[in-house]
Amino acid sequence: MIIIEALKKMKAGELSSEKLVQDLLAKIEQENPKLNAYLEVFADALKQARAADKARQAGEDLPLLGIPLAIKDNILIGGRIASAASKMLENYHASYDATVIKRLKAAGAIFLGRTNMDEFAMGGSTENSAFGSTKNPHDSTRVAGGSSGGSAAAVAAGLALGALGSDTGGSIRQPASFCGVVGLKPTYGAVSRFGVMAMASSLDQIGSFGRTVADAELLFNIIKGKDALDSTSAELPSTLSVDGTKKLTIGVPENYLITGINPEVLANFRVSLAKLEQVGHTITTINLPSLKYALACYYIIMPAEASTNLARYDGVRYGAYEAGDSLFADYAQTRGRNFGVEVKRRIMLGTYVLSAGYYDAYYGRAVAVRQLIQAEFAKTFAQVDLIALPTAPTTAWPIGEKTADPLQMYLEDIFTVPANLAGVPAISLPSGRDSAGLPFGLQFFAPHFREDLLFMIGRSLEEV
Amino acid sequence: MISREDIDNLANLARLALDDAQKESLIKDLDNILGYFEQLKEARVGEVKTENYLAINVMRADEANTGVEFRQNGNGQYIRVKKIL
Repeated sequence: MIIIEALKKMKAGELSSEKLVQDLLAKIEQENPKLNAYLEVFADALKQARAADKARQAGEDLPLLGIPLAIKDNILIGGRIASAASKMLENYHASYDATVIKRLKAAGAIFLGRTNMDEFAMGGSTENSAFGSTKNPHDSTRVAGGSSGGSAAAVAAGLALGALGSDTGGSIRQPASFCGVVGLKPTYGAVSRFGVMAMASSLDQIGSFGRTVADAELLFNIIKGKDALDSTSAELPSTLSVDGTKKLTIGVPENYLITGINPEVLANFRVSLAKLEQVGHTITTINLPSLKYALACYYIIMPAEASTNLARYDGVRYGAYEAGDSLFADYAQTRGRNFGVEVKRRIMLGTYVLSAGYYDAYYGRAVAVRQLIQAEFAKTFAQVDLIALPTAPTTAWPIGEKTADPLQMYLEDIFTVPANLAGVPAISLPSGRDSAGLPFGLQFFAPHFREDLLFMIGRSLEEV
Repeated sequence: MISREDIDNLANLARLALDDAQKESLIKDLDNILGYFEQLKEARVGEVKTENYLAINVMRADEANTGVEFRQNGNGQYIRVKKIL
């Protein structure tokens, strides 16, 4: 069931939220032990559904009234546990609602549960969760992608109608690709981050998952917009009146499609673009010479920011606490014992690139390269409406295949990180299956605050 | 090349208690990852002025936050920490 269809049926009185949630809970009970998409299913889900049904009977008609959603475990819902899939916050109860949650509640949505993720959103496979990895619904021996793997798997397996995730370097788009659903990373600033656990503040964005473009768009329209509690948030330009039948110009950075890409992924990418060309869109080659530095640039800036953001988990104010024989030992033991391997690796890397003597060579240089990339994007978007890339260089890989070599895991982010560095919106769209039956993802980038163009090309792809 | 001394120093700065095995694997991982960063040296950033960087900090007023959960180290009013001096 998709959100738009469920809303239509509920409005017509053919479906109640209670029945919808009952069916979902039955399916979760059956599938979740295998998939591990949810870390917790909320005990009051049915109660929320009944309240929504009552409101509808009383004449309320909110845009998401009675629609059950899944929420990534790094987004705060007041009163409930938010663990970021870390031992550090295993028993932490959020003391307030994130702005996105407040907006979803005001729109009448209900929350089914919190979904699994890589610890503190650090990873591309959900294998870094302290509570076990999420399995891919299309093949349970493979990863669901990450870091929002639980949200993607829940939507793909029909365990939620839609979901929220966060995307710092591809954490919505790559699992969406691996699980065969739509995943949107909005423009930097388009959605408030108040109440999402900060990882890399100049890159983080909250976004939506849906089974269709229209569902992902509907959720985005509810959560977007300026928020006084997030100074980086901005109001989107009022409805950009784009003609839905307008033909778009799509740029392909051929110089970036050379190394490490699976031949089946590349072939699917070409076929998908050819289909879009057949319905009248124009495909053209573009040159983004600095894109080849994007991954190195990202893996300096992200850990640098994460190492400072995660300094707050010190055992003093909230979360786990391990007593040592001094305040320093309290900090070090709390952090040493409760952070997982990848989180510690990134904290160490971030501390290194920011430390005296290395700051200019690493962090300073990465910031300069980021500006080069931003300038090239700005120039390119003067010529084309969209930029196309595969979402990931491979389809979902077997669980455990890349855990021993962190650099191999990082290289999987090569096509997603440029959008975060440039702050532009991006979407991953399902585009068929490989010979093993695993989903491919086709990705588009648009200029700042032009999510409308992403939805437009998404609908176009759904039609072909 | 990252030395054992570097790792000890970084762990100290980052307030992370690590055992020997963790330190050894971090030496290997960081060397590998820093090696990948070498390519940034060839990027032509001569024209870029970092003072024009768009991402700037916007600070809010420093006000008391009563919404924090003081679970294990306080009584709800304040946080208790060990002596520093």
